[in-house]
Amino acid sequence: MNFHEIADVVMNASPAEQTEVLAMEQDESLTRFANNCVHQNVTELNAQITVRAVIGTRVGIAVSNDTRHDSLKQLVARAFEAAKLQPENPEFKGLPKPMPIPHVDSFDPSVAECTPERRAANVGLICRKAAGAGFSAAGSITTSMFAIGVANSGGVFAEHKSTMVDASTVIMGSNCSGWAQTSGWRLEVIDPESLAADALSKVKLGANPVDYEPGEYAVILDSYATADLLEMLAFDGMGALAVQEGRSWMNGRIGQRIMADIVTIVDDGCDRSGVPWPFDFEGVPKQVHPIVEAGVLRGPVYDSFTAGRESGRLSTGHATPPSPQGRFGPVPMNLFLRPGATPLAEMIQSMKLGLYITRFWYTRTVHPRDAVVTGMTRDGTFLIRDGEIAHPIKSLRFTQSYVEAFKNAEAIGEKPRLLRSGIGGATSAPPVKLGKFRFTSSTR
Amino acid sequence: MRADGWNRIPLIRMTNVSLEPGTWDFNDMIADTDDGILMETNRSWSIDDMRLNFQFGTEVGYEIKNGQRGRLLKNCTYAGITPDFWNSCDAIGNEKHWILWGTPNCGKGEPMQTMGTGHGASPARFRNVRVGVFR
Repeated sequence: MNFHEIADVVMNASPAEQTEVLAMEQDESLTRFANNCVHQNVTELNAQITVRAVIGTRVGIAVSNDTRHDSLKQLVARAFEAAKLQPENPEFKGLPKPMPIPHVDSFDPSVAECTPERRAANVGLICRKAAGAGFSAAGSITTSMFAIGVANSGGVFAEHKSTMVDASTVIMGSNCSGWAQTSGWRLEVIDPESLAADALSKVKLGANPVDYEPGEYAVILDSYATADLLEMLAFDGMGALAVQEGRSWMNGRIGQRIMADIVTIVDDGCDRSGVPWPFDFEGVPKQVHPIVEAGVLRGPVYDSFTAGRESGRLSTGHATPPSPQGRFGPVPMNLFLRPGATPLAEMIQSMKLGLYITRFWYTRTVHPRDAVVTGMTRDGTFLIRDGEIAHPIKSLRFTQSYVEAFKNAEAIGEKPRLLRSGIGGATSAPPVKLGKFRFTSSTR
Repeated sequence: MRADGWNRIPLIRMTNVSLEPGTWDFNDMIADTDDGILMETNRSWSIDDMRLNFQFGTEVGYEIKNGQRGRLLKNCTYAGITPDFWNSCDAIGNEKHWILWGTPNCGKGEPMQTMGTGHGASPARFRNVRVGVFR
């Protein structure tokens, strides 16, 4: 993708008062395995070009994956015609102005060079470990390259290339399973020995789980479950659009101490321990944005539109791609729960009675204003009694406010794990110990 | 098996699974219910990986007392174990009340595939269902 060329064609062809072009190209490969063997290899190379044409306060959007010059000119014409059909939107204050954007390196050439054979070799190691212990492994390894460019007629011009890898496995026994996942932008984060060992530790410990009565218990969440807390809170209202529309858990709570003082959640698009990406889909540099500082709610992230609705507010650099289907609003895609100092083993030793949970499954919002979420535990749920893992239990359903969960945080782990996020980007999540968590039913 | 595009691998999907209509008139079903809740319009759904334990939340509900639809209820939820829930079904609305429902955004797979699905049903009554979990 030659973004300079794409931007030149779009800007020269546009009759609009303001014009923006967003170009994204992804080259992604995935190797999937089940029953201890590879059964799928897929690769996709695709591009998406989005043009925003502005006439006064009317905004038209058109999207294509055809980068030929004639097609780009047609795309500009479609966006311009769409803008003419839109109503005036006095809340639209114009496209962003250019700002200095830091260079952040998050491109690993070895990801770009990763072959199916290399992915298969990693899969092979996981499968041999699982089979050797009498279990069955499934999962996937993904390697991808991503290029993004944003330019507008006001002088914004930003380009970034990054890589992303993600590997996950579920290792299954006859009545138990274990899970492990790792993500990052460097190929070296895929350590199949470590992945297999993590999942095997759970499946070996999880054989013959017993029924356990639902109720309110203290819990220790592995990083996988902690990441769900962060991502659902992001989905349920860390963006300004949700707050402005009165549907966020932040409404009525900004400035208040709503979580334990050991909880600090930030979004940092330039931290190279995450999957950094220094600007948003409007070409605005990403600010390090505190969501929760020492338990106090600071506020949501903004794009240029939501910032323009509030006097004196600036975009924090968290715009999502413009879409003809409607506005999703700004989202934090580089969340970090700041680690604490408590090793996981110490958390377990300090617990009189509670549950140790590997991860959550199929979590869905029940009530967004309180971030009440329901979901199941999965791939290893264990009873802790007198500081030791007593025995595995069958998966439980919870219905719990995630804000309240963090209000009852008693310890945060020292070792975060970076995990690809369901809302885009990646989340850095350590294990956490929570004083209360509400389980509402069990399964068989 | 269906794929959401030419460049996607087909996945196993239950795209058009519907509940056959029963014999009950909807008003008769309400009149025949002493104590229950009429749940309308799912807005939240979750089910375990074995498709056993489920929980749904609805936009609205109406109290049913002594065969009469009563006050409006908010934040209704219902939950159960799949075979127990379906074994507790004792009334299904007739063809007059049958509607082809569905969802436009059923997501499955990795990379994610999103498709429309169609699931027709009439109102149905289920006995001894657990409702309400967080308020």
